[in-house]
Amino acid sequence: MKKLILVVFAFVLVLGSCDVSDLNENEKDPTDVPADPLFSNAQVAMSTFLHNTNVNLNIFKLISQQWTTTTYTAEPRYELDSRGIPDNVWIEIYRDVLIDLKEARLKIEANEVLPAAVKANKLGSIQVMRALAYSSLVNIFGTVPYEEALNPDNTQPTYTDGQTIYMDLLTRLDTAISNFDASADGFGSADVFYNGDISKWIKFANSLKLRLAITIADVNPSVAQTAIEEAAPNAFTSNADNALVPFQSSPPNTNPVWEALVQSGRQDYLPAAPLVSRMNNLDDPRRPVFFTEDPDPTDSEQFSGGVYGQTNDYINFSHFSALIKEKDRAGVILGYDEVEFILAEAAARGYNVSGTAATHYNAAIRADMEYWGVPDAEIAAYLVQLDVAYTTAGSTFREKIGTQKWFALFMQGLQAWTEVRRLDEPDLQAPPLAPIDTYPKRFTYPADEQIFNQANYSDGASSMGGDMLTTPIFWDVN
Amino acid sequence: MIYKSIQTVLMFSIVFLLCIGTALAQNTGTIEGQLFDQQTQEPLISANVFIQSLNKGAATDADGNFTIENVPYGTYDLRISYIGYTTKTISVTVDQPTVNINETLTQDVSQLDDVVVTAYGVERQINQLPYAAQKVNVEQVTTSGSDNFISALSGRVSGMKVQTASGMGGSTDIVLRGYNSLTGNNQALFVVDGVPYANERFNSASVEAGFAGYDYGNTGVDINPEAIESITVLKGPSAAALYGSRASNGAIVIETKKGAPGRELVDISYNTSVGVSMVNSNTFPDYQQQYGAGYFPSFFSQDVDGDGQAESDPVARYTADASYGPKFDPDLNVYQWDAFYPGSPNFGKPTPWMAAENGPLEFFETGTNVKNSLLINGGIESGGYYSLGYTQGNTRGVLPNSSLDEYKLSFSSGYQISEKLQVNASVDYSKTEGVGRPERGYSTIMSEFRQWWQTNVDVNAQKDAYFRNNQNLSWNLVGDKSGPFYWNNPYFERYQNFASDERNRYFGHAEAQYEVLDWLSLTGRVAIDNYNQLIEERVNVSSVGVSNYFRQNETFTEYNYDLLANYNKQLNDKIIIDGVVGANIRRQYVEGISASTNGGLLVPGLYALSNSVNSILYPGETDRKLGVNGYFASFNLNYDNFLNIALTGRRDKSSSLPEGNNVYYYPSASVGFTFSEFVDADWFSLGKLRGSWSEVGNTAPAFSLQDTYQRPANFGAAGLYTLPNTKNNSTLKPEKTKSWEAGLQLGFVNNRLFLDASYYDQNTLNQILPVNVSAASGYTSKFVNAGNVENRGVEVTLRGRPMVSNDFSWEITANWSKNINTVKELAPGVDYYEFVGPQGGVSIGATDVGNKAYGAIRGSDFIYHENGQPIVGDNGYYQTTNTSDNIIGNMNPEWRGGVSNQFNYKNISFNFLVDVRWGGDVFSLDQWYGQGTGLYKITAGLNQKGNPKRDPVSEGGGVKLPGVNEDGSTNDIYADASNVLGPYGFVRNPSAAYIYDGSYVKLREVGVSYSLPQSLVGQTGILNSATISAVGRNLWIIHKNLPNADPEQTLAAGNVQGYQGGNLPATRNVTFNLKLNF
Repeated sequence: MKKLILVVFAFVLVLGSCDVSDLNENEKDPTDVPADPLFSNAQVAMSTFLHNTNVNLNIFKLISQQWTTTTYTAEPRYELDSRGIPDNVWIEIYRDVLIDLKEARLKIEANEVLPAAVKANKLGSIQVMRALAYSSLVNIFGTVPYEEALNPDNTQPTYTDGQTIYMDLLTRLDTAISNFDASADGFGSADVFYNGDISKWIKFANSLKLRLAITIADVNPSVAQTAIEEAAPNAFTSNADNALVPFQSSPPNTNPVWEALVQSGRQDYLPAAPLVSRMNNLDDPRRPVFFTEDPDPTDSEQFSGGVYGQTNDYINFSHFSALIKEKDRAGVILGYDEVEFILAEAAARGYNVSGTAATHYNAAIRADMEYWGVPDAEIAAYLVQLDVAYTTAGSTFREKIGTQKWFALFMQGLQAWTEVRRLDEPDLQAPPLAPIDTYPKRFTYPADEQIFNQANYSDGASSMGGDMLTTPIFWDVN
Repeated sequence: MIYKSIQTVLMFSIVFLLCIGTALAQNTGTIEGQLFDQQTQEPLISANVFIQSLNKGAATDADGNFTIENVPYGTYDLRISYIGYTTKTISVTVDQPTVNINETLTQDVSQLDDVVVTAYGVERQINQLPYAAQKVNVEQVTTSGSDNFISALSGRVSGMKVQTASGMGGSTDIVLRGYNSLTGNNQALFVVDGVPYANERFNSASVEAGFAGYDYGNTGVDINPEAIESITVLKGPSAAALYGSRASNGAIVIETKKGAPGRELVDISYNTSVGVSMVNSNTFPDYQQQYGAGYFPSFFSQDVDGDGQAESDPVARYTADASYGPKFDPDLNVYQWDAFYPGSPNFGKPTPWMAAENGPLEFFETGTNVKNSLLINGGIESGGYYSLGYTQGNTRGVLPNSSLDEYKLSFSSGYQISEKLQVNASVDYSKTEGVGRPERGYSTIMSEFRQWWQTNVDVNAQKDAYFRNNQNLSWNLVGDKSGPFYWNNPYFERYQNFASDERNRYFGHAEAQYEVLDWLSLTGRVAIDNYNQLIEERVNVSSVGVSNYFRQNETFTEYNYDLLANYNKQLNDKIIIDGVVGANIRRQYVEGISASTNGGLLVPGLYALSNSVNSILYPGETDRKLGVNGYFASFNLNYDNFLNIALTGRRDKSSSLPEGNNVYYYPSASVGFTFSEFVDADWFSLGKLRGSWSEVGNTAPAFSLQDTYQRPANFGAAGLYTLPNTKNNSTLKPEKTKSWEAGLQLGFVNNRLFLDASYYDQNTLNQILPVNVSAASGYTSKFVNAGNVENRGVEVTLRGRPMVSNDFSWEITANWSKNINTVKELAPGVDYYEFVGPQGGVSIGATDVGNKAYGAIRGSDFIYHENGQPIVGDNGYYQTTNTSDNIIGNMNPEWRGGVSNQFNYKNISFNFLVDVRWGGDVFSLDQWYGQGTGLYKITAGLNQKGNPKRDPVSEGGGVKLPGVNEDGSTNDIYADASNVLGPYGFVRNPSAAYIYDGSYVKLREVGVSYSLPQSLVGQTGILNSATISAVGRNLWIIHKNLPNADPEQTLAAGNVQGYQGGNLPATRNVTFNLKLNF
């Protein structure tokens, strides 16, 4: 019996001396971080998304018909599902941008030692980035999760219609603008756009407000007019104010266009004929800045673009220039030229902004050309052409501004697509073998939403009139 | 803390020695004797003699002699067993110092009465087990010529799925009774000499998802197969409940060879084998031979010869990775890829436009496999044994520049220190070196050959081009010919962009067994399993994409401390009880670091992190420490040999679950009833019913409780942090598998006909899974306890000996199993859980609607008319759904089976094994893309009118697809099939068009062996036996439905099956073995 007791005792001692509670600790990743790196991450992720040209994520340069492909034509033909492009967009903006912005906001709000002015500036910067992200989502999909989004305890958030989101974004931008204090610090070096310069953030916030307002001008003119008249005096006044993402010379933060065109070693992309031929018609001096000359001597045109949505032989067309392919070329998030185009349109719509439609129109084109380094004389010569000059360029402001804004939004695919849909200019057609025979009005929802958020997905889709490429976004009424 | 535990064990072992070392003296005797074959009267070598009531036994030596020492005076049942012979139980009375016994055994190829080793080293007769277990013929496994012994288990056990990913050293999926856990491990646990043996897989998640990647196999192959004495498969959770959660998917229990204790005797066996392997062309693309490079049937027009005329210089479309180009015409001279490389014999020259003489099949070489092994088993007269083994295997794969070298050294020994105390120890060392392991998946060489190829490209010309100067002279150039476009020269890829790996592993244990009482022994054991692994991957400068060097070092260490009390007591003449009470402490540490160059390599061909163009990014660090503390106990009762009852229980405390929820229990109960004891009929030799029930828990993966932030690379001066993609959960509960099974064993006419059948039903509940959630929640997945996966099935083993005579015997064994897998429930509001969403517009996952399959394949589908026919649109092409959530397949087969036959004629034996999988769907990305690019025969040839399909419809070409118009009438529209936009492949078809039935019937193995007659062997003076054999493996795929590929091949072992893209072809192996015993 004594032996048995000893045996039992041994067992108890062996296990009792050894607990498991100090294991399973993640010693390499933090459980808490400051707000600044979260904000930086959201800023970088959003900017990189907008400039990405990976066919799995951002195909807006194709959709806007400024770029096309050589071999693989599925994406310019609007085949979104086989690569899950809507899913990837959704994931990128919600999971990699917005949740980090929210997390940064919560940490700043909970920070009791941060001076009030710095706190306001940081929260304001977050609101501006948030408005950029949500407006992009609305412009791509329409009705999207908003009020109930970004809460892991509610994994089936309801959808909110785009108009409501836009109104809330404008309100929040107003709050941010009024709370900004240019004499205090913001995110400092964690702010990759402006290095914490709040006076620039005030201009950026107002410029973004202009963009949001003009986007809804057709559907809600009174709100648009008020917002534009408020924001116009405080927006960008030169290219020096531009919101730019300074891509780096060392991976992984190089310009995604360099990655696709140079680093990959592949020749997948070409300037698209709809863009190049329209620029050819106007002898656009940006062509040698953007493109190389057509290497095919049999072609009569100096510059030529690939046929949109069909296979193209790379060697038969112009290619992207060395400048476009620069590794660390900055990416435009919102430029001064766009502000001037908005003011031109506002003036044409009769809003009370200083200057005329024509002066703003000219200033917009000039701003874009100067940004790309086009010599003054060539800009002047361009502006006086009958088909360019504001008075003679077309019959409506949509026609006059639409094409020029589309040129100026070269390399900003999402915004270019948005403006083409809103202004219906230039008149772009669906390519052969596309699943629809008109220019696409939106992206279909992610397949994941149909699976993981089925009821709200259905409500969202039906409230818009269906989940189709041809369903217009709320602001697309003309 | 660990060390403290060791100290504690040691201290108590010493305490025991002191306290009990002077245990009561008792009269003991020695049983010795010799065993012979009844017919030949030749001695039986390595036969087992076992006294069950004492749990004591011995094996015979080369002369058939055995000795069992220290047998207390008394009367015992002595069981004598030998593989291939009928077991005999005789009664022996020990009443003097030495009792001598000479016995003969009769041949019985049915091997029913084998002793199997169940959990924690308890030896039992397979007939007495109240749950399902099956023993594997080790001889056939080790001589099969397979490059890993795990894959050689295929088809040998009912209810066991063994599927090996294609190519040299590919990982093997070993799953018993279907997939239970949605996201966790479903692999059976390996246990070697009572110690869990890590069988980790090294293939990235991206390989499973069909993207390019290397498969480094599983670490279970480190076991020295030559040292294996027995392999027992414990199929259900009841059998394995004692091992805890890791055995919830069953266990493969391996015992290694031991010398003959207590005999001054040395057994030496030497085994050498040479094997060759060749690609089975039936599993590789059969290309169309009529059209060459291009997406459309046209040439480039470029002024190559400098005469100012472009039109007169046709150039094959070197940018196109497709074969929808112009029709071959040997009279037409065309500038092809080799016209553009100075130094090429065809530089600047147009060559005849025709199909390549040497297609990609010529790329493969003849693989070789040379294996040598030496095993020395010896006994020590004063009590003890030793075993020393060395095995070296050198494999050259069928892909150029591929090799796998394995070196395995094993040593084990035991010594009887005193009458009561026995110590045992073992240490195994293995070294595995792989070079150029196959890369599978999209954008690999296999993807190049199967999906994106030009039929005019001669592989030997590519070879010559590479070996001229070791440059990447690809057939697929960018438009301005400045470099490769989508594909590298395949030889450059193999010789420059290869991966390599090296693993050094130590596995060992030390144990002391002390006999506390005559019915109770105590064992303390410390076991260590440790390996260091280095993986290196290379992409050289001038390749497609960015050059790169990646390296990963990982150290895995697992400690197991066991304290076991084994008891075995004969209560009276009818009741025997035995079992074990034990405690186990398991600690697992995984540490690793990985880094890669950034922005490419500065100096070509130098694979060092310091050769990075840009500063390298933060290395990835792994540091996981996990532990489980467990107590367990088992109780077995045998009543008068007809009733067996087994009860087990285990309590585990796991570090990866939250405090308060981290303790879980697994009970199991089994009962076996041998009713043939009550039937007095000569023809009815065995009848047994068994039933068991168990509940097994499982723990969470590491780090799934608390949220941590992730660190992307700095952006300039800004440092970044981001929230993770998966929301962790601090309230997780353990996962549970509830199961029951019932079984029947029937034996007739001395077991010449024998049946073993089981029915089982198991449910895995409260699954710990990162469910996919709407990304609008800020996360793409979230850990929850949810889901219920049910597996129900039948396993049947039928064995017969239709013919037995003096010289000739024939034995046939059939294994058959059917598993019905049902996803009864997923998380609330979730009806589909995606495992992967690979290319081809498909998704593989679990669904609790539709076919309710674990492994449903979803994707776009045909649109069907109500008459069941697919609808063809006005353009002549199929209409497809614009939704991709249609269930279009199920990866699970309907049933599996294997039939093996063994014929013995005198010294010659012949065996073959046919392995069948029936049903189960496979999506083929190879066909999806390869038909789209015009590689396969279906895309060319003649149409229903007898005209070339690829001719314009207006000239009688085109294809009339089988199907109906929207009104239901038979389609009569000819669709244009002249280019990539034609009716075949990814452009026009739904994913459902590339779902194939994955059934196969394979002649898995054919073997013939010849043992030199004992009379001849005896003359040598040193030899005890000599056997030569030849084994052919995977020689013939008797039936399959998947074209141009082997339906069995997977991308990688794991939970995702039913998808092919860029797989290697299957190989046929023939191996010659010579086995000598001294």
